Amino acid sequence: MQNGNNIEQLKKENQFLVPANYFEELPQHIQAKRNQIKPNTVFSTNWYYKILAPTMLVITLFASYYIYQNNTTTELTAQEISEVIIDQELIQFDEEMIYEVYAETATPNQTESENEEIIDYLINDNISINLILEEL
Amino acid sequence: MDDQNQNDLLKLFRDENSRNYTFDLIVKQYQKRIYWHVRRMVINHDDTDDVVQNTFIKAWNGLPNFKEESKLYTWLYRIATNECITFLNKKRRVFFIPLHDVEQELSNQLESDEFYNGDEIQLKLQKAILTLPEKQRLVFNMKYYDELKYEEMSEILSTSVGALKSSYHLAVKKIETFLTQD
Repeated sequence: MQNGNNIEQLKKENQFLVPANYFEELPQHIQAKRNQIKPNTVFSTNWYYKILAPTMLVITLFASYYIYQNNTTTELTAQEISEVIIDQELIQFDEEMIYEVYAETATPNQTESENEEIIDYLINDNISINLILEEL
Repeated sequence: MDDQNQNDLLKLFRDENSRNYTFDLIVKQYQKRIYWHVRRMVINHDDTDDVVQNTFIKAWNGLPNFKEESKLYTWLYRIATNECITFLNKKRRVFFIPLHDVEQELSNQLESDEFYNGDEIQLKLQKAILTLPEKQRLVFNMKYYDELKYEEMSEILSTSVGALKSSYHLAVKKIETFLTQD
C-alpha cells in the first residue's frame, strides 16, 4: 500500500543514503579516533587500581602520622632539653654550658628585689638585723 | 551473531595481540545496524557519523569490562541509543530550542537532505515519526525498522515489555492518524 494509513502495509524500505564508500572507510576513521586516545588509559584500569590503591593507602598513613606528630608535641622543661641533648649526643656541651642554659631558663623562686623588701619589712617590724642575717 | 561467535570474538579481544584486529571485526559486523539506528533518530548524515564514531569509541573503552550478561549487539545498541539521546539533548541546550522544535528542525532537514531519497509517502512517514516523543520514536524505530524483539528492546531501553508494547501501539496509532491527514 502506498496511499493508505496502515503502516504495516507500507513498503519498509530504507530511504536514507550514505556518501560513497562510507561503510568501507568508517572502520578506519574509528581506528584513527581510537589512536588519539592516550595509551594505557583503556585497558589498564584493573592494573591502575591495583597500584593506585596501595600507594594512596601508604601516602594516607604517612600523612596521618605526620599530622599526628605535629599535633602532639609536648613542651619540655629546660632540664629535659639538656638531658635529650646529652643522651642523643646532638651537640657536645660541657656541664658549665648546660648549667648556664638551665640557669637562664629556670625561674628563680625569689628575686633580689623581693629579698630586700622582706628584709626592710622585718627591720621595720623591729627584728634585729643580726637575727635576720643569721636566718638568711 | 550467535553466542559462540560472540564468545570467540570476546576471547580474541582479551588477547592484547589480537585486540585491535578483533575490534575492527566488531565494527565491521555492527556498523550498519548501529548507523541506521542512529540515522533514524538523528536524521542528518554528518551528525550520525559523529554519534556512530562516539558509540564505537565508548564501546572500545567499555569492552574490557563487558560482563557478557547481555548480547554484544544489544550492548552496542544501548550505547548508541544513549549517545543519540545525549546528542539530541545537547542540540536542544546549545540552540535553546524547545523540546518539540528539534524534531521540527529534523523534519525540515529531511526535505533538503541530499542523502535522503524517499518518495512522498515515505517522507510523510518519516515526518509522522518525527512528531512522536523521543522515547516513543526510539521504540517505533527499533520495532518497525530494526525488527528487534520486545525482550531485546527491554534490555536496551531498561523498560518493561508491557510498557514497550503499549508505547509501540500508541506510536502506530499516532502515525496512522498523521498519514490520514492532508
